[in-house]
Amino acid sequence: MTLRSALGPEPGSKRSSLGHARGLGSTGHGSAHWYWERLTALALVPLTVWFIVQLLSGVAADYDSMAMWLTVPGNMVLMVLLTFFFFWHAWIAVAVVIEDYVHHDATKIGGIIALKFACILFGAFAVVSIILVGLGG
Amino acid sequence: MVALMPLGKFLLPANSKVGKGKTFAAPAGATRVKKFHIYRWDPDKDENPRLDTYEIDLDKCGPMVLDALIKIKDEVDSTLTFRRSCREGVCGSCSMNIDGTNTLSCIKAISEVKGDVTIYPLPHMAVVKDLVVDLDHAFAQYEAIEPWLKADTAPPPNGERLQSPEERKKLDGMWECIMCFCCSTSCPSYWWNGQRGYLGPATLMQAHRWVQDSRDEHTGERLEFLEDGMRLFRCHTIMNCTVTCPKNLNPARAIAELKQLMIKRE
Repeated sequence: MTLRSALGPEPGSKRSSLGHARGLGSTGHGSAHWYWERLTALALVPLTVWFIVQLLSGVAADYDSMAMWLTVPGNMVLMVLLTFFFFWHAWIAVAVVIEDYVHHDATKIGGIIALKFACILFGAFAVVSIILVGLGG
Repeated sequence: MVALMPLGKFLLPANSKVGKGKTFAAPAGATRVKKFHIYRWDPDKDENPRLDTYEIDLDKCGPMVLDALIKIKDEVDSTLTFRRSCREGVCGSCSMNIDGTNTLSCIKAISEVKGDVTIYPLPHMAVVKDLVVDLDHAFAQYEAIEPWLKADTAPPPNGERLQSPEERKKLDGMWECIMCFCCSTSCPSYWWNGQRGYLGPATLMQAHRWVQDSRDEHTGERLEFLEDGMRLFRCHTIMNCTVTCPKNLNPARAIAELKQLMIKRE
């Protein structure tokens, strides 16, 4: 059946259908990824609500009031956690979006690597900034 | 741009654009006319697909969409190609997209469709001809989950392998599946990644059917086979599968239960 390869990765392939369906086999992971995607999303719900409530109460009216607000240990810890879970969740979930829609191998792998470096870079930058401002830097 | 940005394509390729086809007018004296717009594509002709229109007198036609298709093939246009067999919703051959929904033409009443009836093949599958799509890969994926009883314990010499009524009940809602692939071909994840490993709701529900079977002794291996970001976890729970199933089964629930088992196993 020549039509088999119409949507498959290798046009004109004579590989059997079962061979193509089994492919490279099971990677042996997937459930942990799925689990942490949901757990980080769950953690972000109360943290985001808390952050929005704080913003609405005017803590970010100017730099000084925000810096003052960050000196409170509870605020600083929650801000660090919010940042941490935000970038962790982005790390996992944006990768899923790329895997879903980008089917050009080099672009896909390049995109996922760029995403991971970006999450580390911006995450570390945000956390260090929060701590420095909170400590009066 | 498409070459630079190898993302999902938003427009059909030029040779897949569906053109306007021929119209077959209702015979003179027809009393209750309904229009059927049907997707046509012939691999032997170097032409784009087209929508042909058939005007059918419902007073001289059976009640189901399949009755109309058979009437067209018998009396109007013998070149119209489609799969059918049992005409009562148990064989799964006549699955197609009717009025925007994947279903079985044999149990879809014409009266359920308001206005004209539009019929396409199952979405995002390679078309063999007209309403016939290539299910080769879909069935190969089904074969890959090894949908048969696997047990190392010999069956009792004087009878069959037993199951309690409770154990048997766990298979209800899954054994009834007739593998028409209406669900898999309604699933965007299957459209984008079916060829890249995602098994799709029809095959995943059957995977779960064998995981749930108390007589099967290879449950762990079956779950190991599914422990993969593509095969199982490409499901993002949008539940098109459950909405479209012409047998009113719930593949989304079977997939959710599989995911829970995977977590339990960790």
